[in-house]
Formats: sequence, C-alpha cells, structure tokens
Amino acid sequence: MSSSLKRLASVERGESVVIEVVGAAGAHGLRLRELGFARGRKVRVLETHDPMLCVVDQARVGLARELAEGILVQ
Amino acid sequence: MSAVLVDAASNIRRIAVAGNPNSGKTTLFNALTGLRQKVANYPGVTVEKREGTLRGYGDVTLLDLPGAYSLSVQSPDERIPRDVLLGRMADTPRPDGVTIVVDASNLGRNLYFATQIIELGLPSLIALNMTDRAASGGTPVDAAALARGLGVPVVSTVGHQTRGVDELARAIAAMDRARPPQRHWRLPPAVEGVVQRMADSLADQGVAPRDACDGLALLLLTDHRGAASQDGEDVWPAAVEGLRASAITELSRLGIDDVSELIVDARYTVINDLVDRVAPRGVAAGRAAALSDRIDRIVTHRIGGWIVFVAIMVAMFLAIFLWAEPLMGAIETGQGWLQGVVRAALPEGALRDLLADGLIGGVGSVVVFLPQICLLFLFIALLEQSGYMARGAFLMHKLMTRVGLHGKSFIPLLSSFACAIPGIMSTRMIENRRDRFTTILISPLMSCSARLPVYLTIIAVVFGGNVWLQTAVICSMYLLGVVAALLIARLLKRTLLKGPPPTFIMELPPYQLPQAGAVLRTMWERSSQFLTGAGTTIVAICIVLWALAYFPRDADGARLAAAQHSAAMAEASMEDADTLAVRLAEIENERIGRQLRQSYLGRIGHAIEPAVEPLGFDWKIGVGVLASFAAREVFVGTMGMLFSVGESQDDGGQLRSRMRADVWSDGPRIGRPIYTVPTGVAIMVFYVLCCQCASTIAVVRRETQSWRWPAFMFAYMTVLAYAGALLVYQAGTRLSG
Repeated sequence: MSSSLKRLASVERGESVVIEVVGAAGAHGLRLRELGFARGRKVRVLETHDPMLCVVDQARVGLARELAEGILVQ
Repeated sequence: MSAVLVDAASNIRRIAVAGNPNSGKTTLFNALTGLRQKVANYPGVTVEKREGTLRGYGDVTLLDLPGAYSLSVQSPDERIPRDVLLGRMADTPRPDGVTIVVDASNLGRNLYFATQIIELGLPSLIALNMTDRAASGGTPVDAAALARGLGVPVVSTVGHQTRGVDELARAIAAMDRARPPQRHWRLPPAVEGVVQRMADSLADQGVAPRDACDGLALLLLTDHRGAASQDGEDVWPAAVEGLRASAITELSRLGIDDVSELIVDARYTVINDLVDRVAPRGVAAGRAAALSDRIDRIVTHRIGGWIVFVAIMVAMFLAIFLWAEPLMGAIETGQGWLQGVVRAALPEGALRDLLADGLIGGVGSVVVFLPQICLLFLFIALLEQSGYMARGAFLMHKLMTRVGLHGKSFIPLLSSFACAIPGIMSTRMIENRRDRFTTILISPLMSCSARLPVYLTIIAVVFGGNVWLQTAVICSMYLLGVVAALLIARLLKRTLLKGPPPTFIMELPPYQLPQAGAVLRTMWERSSQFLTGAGTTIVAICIVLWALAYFPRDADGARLAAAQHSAAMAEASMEDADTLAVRLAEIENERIGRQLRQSYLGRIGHAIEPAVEPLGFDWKIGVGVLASFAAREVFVGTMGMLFSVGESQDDGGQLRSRMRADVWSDGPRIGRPIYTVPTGVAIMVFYVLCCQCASTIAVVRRETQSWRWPAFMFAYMTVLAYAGALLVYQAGTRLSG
C-alpha cells in the first residue's frame, strides 16, 4: 500500500486522490487540515502550476506547491 | 454552574453568529437583522464588529463574528471569534448563545469549526444553510440526524429565502439557556485523561467558565505550534502556558509527539462518520459547482487567466475614469454655485472668505473624489461578491512573492491607483501583520487620482503639445510608483518587517451572482467611512491653509487695487465692456498675488527656497509643494493663486503660459526660465514618491493603531521624494548642459 504513495504536487491535472499523510509542520499543517486537507479526504487537482488549485470536499482551495510537496496521497 | 450570563439591567440576550467564510453567514445575518446594524471596530484590531437586533424579537441582539475556518489563532485578528465566545474580549461580554452557520455543500469542513464552537459550552444552534449548491434535487442532508449527532438543534435555511429565516429567528429566540452542550466524541483514554486534568486546572484557575474549559483545553493543545510561530500576539497568562507545557510533556511521555495532529485527525474521523450518516449518498454537487468548475478552467488557467485578469482591470479603470468625469464636473459646478450663493449672501470680510474658500472649497476638494471612490468600491464589491477577487490573488501570488508579499496584497495596491485611503482600508483581509503593514506602507506610492492633475499641468508646461510624448511621460510616472513600491516592499520584508514570504493557502469561493442590495450596501458603508474619515482631516487642513494664505492682510495692496479699480471704471467707455472686465480681473488677480506673496504662506515659501533650490524649484513651487503636504490636489490651485490667475476663469491655458514664461528673479540662474524639462520632471518625480496627503497619514494611524508607522511612512517617502527629485534635476541639468 505504501508503495503507491506519491506527493500531491506530482498528481496530474484532473486526477482524484486520497490523502494519507499531511507532512507540513506547525501553523501550515494546522491550516491545511482546517481547510480539509486531512487524512482520508478526497482531493481532485484542477491546476498544477504554482499555486496549485484543488477541490477538497467541494471547496476549491489554492495552495503553494511547496505545501503540496509535503502531502502524501494515493 | 451555568455559563449563561443574562444582561441584568435590560434582560437583552446576546447571540453570536459564527461560520466559515463563504458559508452564507453574512447574507443570513442581514436577513435576520434587517438594515438596522451597528458597525464598530473591536478594540486594538481593525476587525469590524457588527451587531443588530433580531427582527421580530426586540430582546435578542445578534453579534456577527468574523468568518473563520477554525478557532485556532495564527494572526491577531483570528483570536476574535474564540475570545468573544470565551468572554475574553474587552468591551464585548460573553454572548448568551451562539448560532453556527453550516454550509451543507461543504459539511465536513464546516462541522470542524462547528464542533470546536459547541465544545466551548455555550448554548448552540446550527443553521444548516442549504445553498443552491447543495439543495438542487431535494434535501440531501438529514437535519434531524445531524441534530442527534451533534446534540444541538438544527434549523435548515436556504440563503436569504424568508421561510427558513423566520424559522431560524424563532429558534434563536427560543434557544435553551439552561443546557450547555458537551463534546460527543472521545480521544484515546490516556490522552483523554491529560485533557481532562488540564480542563479542570483551567477551570480552577478561572481562565474561562467551567463549561468552556474542555473545549479550551483541546484548542490550546491543537494550537500549541501554530500560536508561537506567528507574531506571538496570542498571549495567555503564564499559568495557562505552564498548563499547556506540562500537558505536552506528559503526552510526549506517552509517546505522542504531535498532539495537534492527533486531535485534528480524531475530530475529522468523528465528523466523517457523522457526514456519512446524515448525507449517505454524499452531497450533490449541484449545477452552480459544475459551472464554477467550468469558469475556473479559464479564469485560473496560466494563460487564459491573465487575459481575463488584464481585461477586467483595464475595463474597471476605464469605467472609473470615464463614468466619474461627468459626476465630478457636476460636483465642481455645484460647489461653484454654492460659493457664489455664500458670497452674495454674506457681507465682505474674513467670515465670508472662510466659508466660501476655506470651508466649501475644502469640503469640495474631498467630495469631488467621491464619484471615483464610490465607483471603485462598487467594482471591488462586485469582484469580491462574485468570487473573482480570490482568483486575482491566486493569479498574482507568484508575482507578489518575489517581493515577499502575498497575492492578496494586489487588491489594496490596485485600489490605491484611485486613492490610497480605500486601498489601505482593504489591507484588513491580509492575515499576517507584517505583510499587511508592508502593503500599507507602499500603497501611497501608487499614483492616485489626485496626482493626475499635477502631472497634466507640469507636462503641458514643459513638454508642449506632443501627445505621444505626454502619454509616455505619464505612463512612466505611474510605472515609477509601482517599481518604487515593489522595491520598498522587498526592502521592508528583509529589514523592519522581516519575515518569510507568505505561503499560499486560500479558499476560492464558488462563483455567484452578486446581490444588488449587498453590493450597494458595501459600497455605501466604505464610501461614507472615507468621507467621514478623510473628509474631516482635509477640511481642517484646508481651513488652516486658507488662513496661512489669508493673513496677515495686505492693506496697502487692497487700497491700491481699489484705486486702480475706480480709475479703470472712470476711464472705461460704454462700448468697451469686455476690455473693462478683463482689466478688472487683472487688477483683482494682482491683488490676490500680492496678498499671497506677503502672507504667512508666502513668507514660508521664501524661507524654504534654499532647501528646494537644489531640486530646481523656486519659492512658488516650494509653496505649492509645501501646501500639497496637506493634500496634493491643492497644488494646481495654489499655483493658480501664486501666478495670480483667478481659479474661477482659469481653463488651465492661462496658468500654463504664465508658468512657461516664469524666470528666475535672482541667484546664478537669473533671467533663465524656471520650468525647464529637468525641473518639470523633478516636480513630477517628487509627487510620485512623496506622501503628500494628511488623510492617508490619518488612515495609516487608525489601521496600524500607532503613530510610529505613519511617521515612518512619511519620513521614508519624503526622503525618497527629495532624493529622487534631486537626482533627476542634477543629472538632467548636467546632461542637457
């Protein structure tokens, strides 16, 4: 299972994934979780440039690629 | 012990209204309270405090809390919802209950915030807002099951539609004061033990009412890394910090390193289960969400997005300048008419001149910008409420981070091209204090509409009639302001307001059709704030300026003018009425010019001449620049006075030809023209870079809650302007020989 983990930043445009690990520490990690980037939630990637554009739980959220690097999904 | 506090004197109950941004909270709040709202600021921060009486229930006051995603505190403004609900906010007693607006189309994230609030122990009520996004095809969320799961009543509403609102108002009025809600989920037993002990200690020390301490303990543990990482402004008493530290030590002995993550994940696990129960088929995406997806495919696209962005900006500025012009003309005509009425009605003397020139002239110089400012606020409200503004910030972010700012900073900077005051007011949406202050400090470098008349006058004097050259010069002045602002931002973010470039995490709300009522209301609230805030300062300064130019009176000059006047009248023949009128106007202008030269303002001008001479300015330009420190729009009027051109009949041409003909009357350059290209460009560069606007300084004082920042801004901009003008003039004269 862990072999199929990848970074949210490397997800293709239009792809849907499930969040496994939110790696960002401290304030950013908390902010991400509050906006719905928490373990077990589905994310769809709309735009892959920086900042990225994702849909989490029907909400569109823009987030910096450096944060998406720390989020592991499958 | 009950947490309910009833206002003993009036028996009025105060209910807070909380919710995520874009949950429809503001729309519901407006529908519940109607138009009678009280808007103030929370002490110490610039977050609006909005209160209103619940329609149909005079004994219930609603308090609109700022929208938030959680009760965690990462910036000073974010502590308001938490501190109000805990009763820790100065001037705001703890509410008797809280209504939580929950967006049904985004249930999971909204319930995250809702459960945090419920755990603070205030009587709670959920307003399950079925926006059209969620409600298409029936009610997908089982409100009764949600109420059972959360242990608090749930009322369904649909945006601003009356049926749901009436029911919600009834439910708010009937809120149960006696039974504070409780947390309905548990952490692993060992962790739970630590949390409970911490909650008991918090209650024993009286940090918060006992019912709130369970929720507060969780918040403190969730926040333990976030709070310290920002500006350190979330200050708890040492005893609370001690409890937090010992709880964290205890937990790490249990092998738990990140209690924050543990709590958030546990909360989400419970919420996910609840969402599966109340909306087993998932919440239907609805047509609006699909439409938002399609719009975003263009608007946030890396190429298409920029085309849309530039088109919107160009259209907005064209509209502001074109549509405002006739209205501004009308205001100027009205002002002239009013001055005429006052002059005709009052006897000659200082009082008449004060009213007509000082007061009406002063008020007029502010009111004339109102059409532009109203239009600007109208467009900003439209961009905000349609959902586009967040897309603008999203697109601009990459560019803005190069100077250490957040994408959101583009909105205040954009507004500042019309006027820095609304621009600075709109920095409130930037969470990080350092990013916000940096944006405030560079906003006045954007060329505002008050600078345009200065540019136009000087360009016409020194560059003649070549339209292409004129346009190029104006564009480079605008560009100079932008470049200076970005460089200063970069410098500030590396020195005084040092901090990492902000990281972009921002929700882009679904697109929606703005509601006319809400747009106009926002526009009017902001415009009237500008009028009262800026207006009073400008009027006061115009009166002082008028007095400096008016006193001491030049009795000799007045006698001379009176003698010339009667002589001209006596010489004139009947068929020569036009010549007489011209001659009389000349006499009057000469008298005004003489008066001004020997007034306090004129004397000051001569005193400062040595200081401005290296910039290529003579004493008249010095006076114009000095007077402009109150408000730069007075420059052209002051030059008109100094060149003895009556403002009333000035179409610009007469002033410009006199300025062009002006020569140095003493010094090494005697007899040579004053308004050369280097001098003209130096004047414009000075106006681009200088903070000549008392109202801006007053607004910065209000927004930063200190005199330190406006003083710093004034100092750095003055130095920059002087250095810039000096460089341009000295280099220019040497190059041109």
